[in-house]
Amino acid sequence: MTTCLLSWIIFTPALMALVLMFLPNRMEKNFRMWALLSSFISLILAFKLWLNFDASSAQFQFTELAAWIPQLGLSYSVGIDGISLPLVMLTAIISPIALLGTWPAHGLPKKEKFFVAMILFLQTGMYGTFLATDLFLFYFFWEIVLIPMFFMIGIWGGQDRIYATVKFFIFTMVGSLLMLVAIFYLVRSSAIQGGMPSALMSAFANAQFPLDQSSLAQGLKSPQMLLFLAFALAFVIKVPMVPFHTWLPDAHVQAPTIGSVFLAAVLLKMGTYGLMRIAIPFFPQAALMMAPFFYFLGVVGIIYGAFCAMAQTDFKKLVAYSSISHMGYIIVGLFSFDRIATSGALYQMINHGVSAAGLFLIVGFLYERLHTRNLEDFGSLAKITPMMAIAFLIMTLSSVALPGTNGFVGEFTILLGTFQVAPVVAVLCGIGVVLGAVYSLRAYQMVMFGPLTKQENKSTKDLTAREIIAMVSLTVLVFGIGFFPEFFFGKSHVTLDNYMTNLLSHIGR
Amino acid sequence: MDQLTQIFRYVPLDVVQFYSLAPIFIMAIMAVVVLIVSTGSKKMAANLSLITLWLVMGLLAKQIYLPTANILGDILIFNPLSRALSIALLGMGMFSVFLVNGQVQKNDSILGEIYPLILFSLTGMLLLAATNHLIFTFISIEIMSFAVYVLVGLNRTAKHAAEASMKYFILGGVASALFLYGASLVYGATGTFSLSQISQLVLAETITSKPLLTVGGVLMLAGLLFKIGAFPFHLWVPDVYQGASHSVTAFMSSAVKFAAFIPLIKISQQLFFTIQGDAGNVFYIMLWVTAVFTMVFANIAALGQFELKRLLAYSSIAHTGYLLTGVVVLGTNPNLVVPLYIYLAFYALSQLGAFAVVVMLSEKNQKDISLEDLSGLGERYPVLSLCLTVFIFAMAGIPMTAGFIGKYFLFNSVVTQGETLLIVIAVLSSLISMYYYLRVIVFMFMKEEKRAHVLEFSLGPVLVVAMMVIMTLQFGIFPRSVMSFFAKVIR
Repeated sequence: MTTCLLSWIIFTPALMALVLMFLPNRMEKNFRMWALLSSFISLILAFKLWLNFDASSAQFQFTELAAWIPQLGLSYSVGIDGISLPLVMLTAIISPIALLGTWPAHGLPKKEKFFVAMILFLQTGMYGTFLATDLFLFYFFWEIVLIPMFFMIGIWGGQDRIYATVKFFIFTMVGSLLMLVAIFYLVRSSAIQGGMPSALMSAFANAQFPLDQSSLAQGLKSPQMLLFLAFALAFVIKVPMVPFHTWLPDAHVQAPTIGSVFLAAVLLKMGTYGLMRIAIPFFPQAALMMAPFFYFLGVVGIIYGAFCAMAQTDFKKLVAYSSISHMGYIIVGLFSFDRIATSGALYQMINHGVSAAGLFLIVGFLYERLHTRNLEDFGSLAKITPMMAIAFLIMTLSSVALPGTNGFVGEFTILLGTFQVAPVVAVLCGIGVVLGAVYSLRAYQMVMFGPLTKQENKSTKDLTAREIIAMVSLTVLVFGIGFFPEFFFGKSHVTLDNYMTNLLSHIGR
Repeated sequence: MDQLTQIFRYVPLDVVQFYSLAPIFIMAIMAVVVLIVSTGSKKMAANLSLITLWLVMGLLAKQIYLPTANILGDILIFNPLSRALSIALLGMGMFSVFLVNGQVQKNDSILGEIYPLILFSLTGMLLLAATNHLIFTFISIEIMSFAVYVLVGLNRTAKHAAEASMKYFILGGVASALFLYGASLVYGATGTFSLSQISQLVLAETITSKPLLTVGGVLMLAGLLFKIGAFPFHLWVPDVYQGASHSVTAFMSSAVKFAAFIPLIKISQQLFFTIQGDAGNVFYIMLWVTAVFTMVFANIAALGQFELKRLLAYSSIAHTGYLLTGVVVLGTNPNLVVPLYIYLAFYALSQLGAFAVVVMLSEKNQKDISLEDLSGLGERYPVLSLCLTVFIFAMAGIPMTAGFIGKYFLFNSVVTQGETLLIVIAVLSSLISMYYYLRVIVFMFMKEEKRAHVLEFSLGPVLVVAMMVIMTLQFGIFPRSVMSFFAKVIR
């Protein structure tokens, strides 16, 4: 298992899914156990990866390379560096937590086998996206992720699930198909330069595509800008950045809890990861040229998302809009071209993953017990369900970025870095932090305090042991990252330094 | 004016040439034998056709790497590529026969003549794969098409069938006439029907009457575009696909479509793209515009379809459009045909599979399958629904399926030739297609069952579905073998 550790991490869930597919339906009671087992295997492998990761190197490690379709220059090539390591760890940690936190309490959902298989395939797709170092392989996994999510929302979702899932699928497809054309173009350019076609990311890391910087109108016609926009569109739709965000509230509201958890915690990060891995470093001048534009949309996203979240009465929609707001910080951080803000963006990816997963789990707990997501139907639950109140409080504090929690580490670093480059932007982002506190605390207050609105809420059960395990693990991460960020992100420093040095040398700063 | 004997000169055959001709002889003879047998026993006719197809495929596989045999001065050229194409076509024919078997078991009104007609049609296709001669191309197309005209109308009890057959026959006749007229004009300009001689003459710029050549070429192109069902000659496709019985539609959308692209590819490379200057640009522009309109139109039209076979028909037109992007960049480079043939072969997998599912879904007296009828299928027949999902994903070009690899390979080669804008249009129009492909899946998995499905499974269609799913996934993940095979064959 040491020889191809990354492949094991990627394909363990898929193998388990295949095994489950061939087990008879009457064993379906145990399928979750099997899925949990496979998630733990991935987690153990990921820890092994973490321990053996060489923090002093900025190169891809644990690399595997095999010719896949040599006629087209496509290879199976995986590797990990300081940027993908935290995201792989996030996926590995969130997977068992999500399974534990959404364990069906009364009766299995319909088509349990298919459901569990989809969860497992989703994991394979997520690991693959973060670990691929070949553009084609990256695209392959990127698309694979869509299919389980499409079925999860469409089959096990709420009332308007079909509308939501088709919208989710088509929105994501718009971006990815243009990305595919851009990949064709890159592969072609590699064939022109080097003779043999290749889609390896390393082949493009230092490729300079022509860009006319005399004016924006000229720039928009240049190959580098078009390539950048093709990739960036795919990624910002996934993030999602305003104005491409409309699929997210629909998808979140309709998705089953576990789908929402994966969607918020990991799938959105695929977008920002793509920006950081491909769009910005491959096309730095174009990214710099468009940076004001992304700044603007990032800030709009932060503030608009926060205002939308304030107006929601549906708890899940509130969390969904808060995700849009929080993801805006990452966009701002990535396009600031500042070392501190960029590392803040990476931290924020992980931190938002943790707090959004926690919040969606809380929404799921409430919905499973009370069958409503309307904030006005709750109230005074703090006395009835104290454990849930504590867990919810911790997640809310993390979400509002209280010092000492992980949220603070990410957002503060981004604001600090951005302030040095663009003070106005940083100030505007600061408004978002304030607004974030308003809607998060309001939600907490409406659910946990205030008068009891419904008598039947009195008999609400508190968290079960499995749910407590899930929330405690997240709590450990919240305070762990909050107090010891160096321990969690220390392994990324060299890679981030290297990333920034390359970027700055390309844009001539 | 040459005498007919000068066009078709008598040349004695040597042993190798005769050996190369053997598959075609066997197919033609066995088609007649099966025709006689089919009047007595359908079952025997079915088995006999399957055995014939197996044998001929085996024979072709044996001779595949034999040296090129050129018979009667370019009339028939047997080379590894033509033999590989023949094997692919026969394979599609064989799977169609399996589907016919499944349908015959359900529906007695299907005539036994369906088997010999498929064999006749395949004989025409084998000639088409080998010929490099305009008149012979015409004859082969007619041999293939006439059998298909009858196949479409063979479903006597359905009222759509007669209409579809008539429409296809009359429009197809006009298209053939256009092609023949074009060929005669090209003969007038060049003095030969042999494509390799034409391309030499044109490349050497020795043609004095270029307008004649161009007009002839345009007429031939129109005829060929009809055969592949490209905009604006696509109108027959939905009606014929809907009217023909399901297994015949499967045959048409796989083998006939594949075969119809062969002359287009050959004539494009040896005539259309050899013409220099403005006259040559005419073909480039025609194909470019046709490709764009075919893709965009078909995908938009398909959005309004709620009948499964009509939906698949429009999706088939859309795929013709994607394939035409590959024809646009063909030029004269023989390597560029590989993505097209691989796309066609992979596309045929998903078509045969999808129509096999349609055959299973169809009930005795019911012709049309609306999307509503699919609702709840995923609940009752999960495996079958997953198989159809794989085929639909393959048509939509989602990774892990052969359809994605085919599309990737084709579009990649088009972008490599510098037609990025065309591919941007292609992917955006395929985005539209996602919507109606998803709709099929949505109905299967996400809607409540309206009407209890009771399906009878018979061996033929089950076998086809299983084979196609395995091949679609296998070539979707490990396409290397197919690609190196084609690379070897093209050399």
